[in-house]
Amino acid sequence: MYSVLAGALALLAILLAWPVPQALAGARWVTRAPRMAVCLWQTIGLAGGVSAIAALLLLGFAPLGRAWTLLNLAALVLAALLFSWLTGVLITSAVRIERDLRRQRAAVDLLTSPDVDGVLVLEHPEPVAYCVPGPHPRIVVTAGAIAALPPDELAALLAHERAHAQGRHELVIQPFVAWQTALPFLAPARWATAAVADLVELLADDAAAEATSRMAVARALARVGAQRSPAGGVRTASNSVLSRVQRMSAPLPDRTAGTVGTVAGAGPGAAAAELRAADRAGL
Amino acid sequence: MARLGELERAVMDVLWNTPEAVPATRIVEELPREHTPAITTILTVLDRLGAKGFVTRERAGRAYRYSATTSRAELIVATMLEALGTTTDRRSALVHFAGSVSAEEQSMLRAILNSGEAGD
Repeated sequence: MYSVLAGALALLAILLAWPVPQALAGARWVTRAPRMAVCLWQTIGLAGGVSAIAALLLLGFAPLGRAWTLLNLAALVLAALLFSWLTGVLITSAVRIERDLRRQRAAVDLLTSPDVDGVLVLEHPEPVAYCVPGPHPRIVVTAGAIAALPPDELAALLAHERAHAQGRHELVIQPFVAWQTALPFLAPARWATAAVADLVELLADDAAAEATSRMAVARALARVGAQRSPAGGVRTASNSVLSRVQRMSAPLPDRTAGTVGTVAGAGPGAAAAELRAADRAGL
Repeated sequence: MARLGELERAVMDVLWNTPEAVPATRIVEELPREHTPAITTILTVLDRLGAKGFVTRERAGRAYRYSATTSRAELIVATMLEALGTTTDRRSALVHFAGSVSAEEQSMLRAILNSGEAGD
């Protein structure tokens, strides 16, 4: 009985480790329901880890034959190792990220004085905006971004960053980064991190569109993307900025009719699919 | 707390504007008139800035002389590079507006802006 259950859990763990993330990474609907997609990724990650550990525990405590064998001991040791490895990496990753953030906060606090909206303006010509997350988040915008954008697009950009700050998106991404670090040989961990990182951008785009307009978000993205110094030599996973512009420019999907915007198809799915292709080429 | 932050900025501005290492008393003199804090406050601020790695000190006689570890421009560039995640390959917790953009992507973005496809 125990071994049947253990087998079922092991099967679940295997499904969640490869085929299920593969399907989600290739799914096209995710750009229309980014929140749902993020929840699914979180469920896959958590359930995958729990089922793998639970399968090993069951195998360890339930003798396959009559006697308790070396196999049982090996399963228990593996379960303990896997659990402590996953939690250990999660904690060290959180500590490292917090240290990076503390350095960022200290630097931006020294370099800028907050304006009325609590936005910090960094004197740099390159148009860049980012959010230093935390309980007291900082939204940093360069002088270059302010100079490059008309007021409505600047408002869209700031609304996007506020959405990151208020949604605590860094907490959504962090476990996936840790998961990827903990299991470097597991390609789906990489796809998951890439997909979730793109999905939170879509969430922030949607929030910014709500606060301003889809057009303002699209144009702000295109303008900032076009003026950034290109990532020379660095292989970018996808045309994620371009696909976000297209997603914001496309007409809103008609939910009642169930038809979907076709232009908006290239999103995190495309990013993950391309990463997958890169993995295959690398193998 | 906000006041301490302001003082830290003011002290750093003094250090960034003086090429040589200076004693704390000199920093007090150089500070803008509106806040002339006690020397002990400035020493506390200098300690905090030292702990964060922005200020170094060297002994000169009985007192210390302080200087900034990097120029203001260097710190801006370092902060930006770190924020953009170009210094390390690992993903930073910082989420920025438009991630890395390839050259082909940029030309397509320019085409969209010029054609007015994304608005107007």
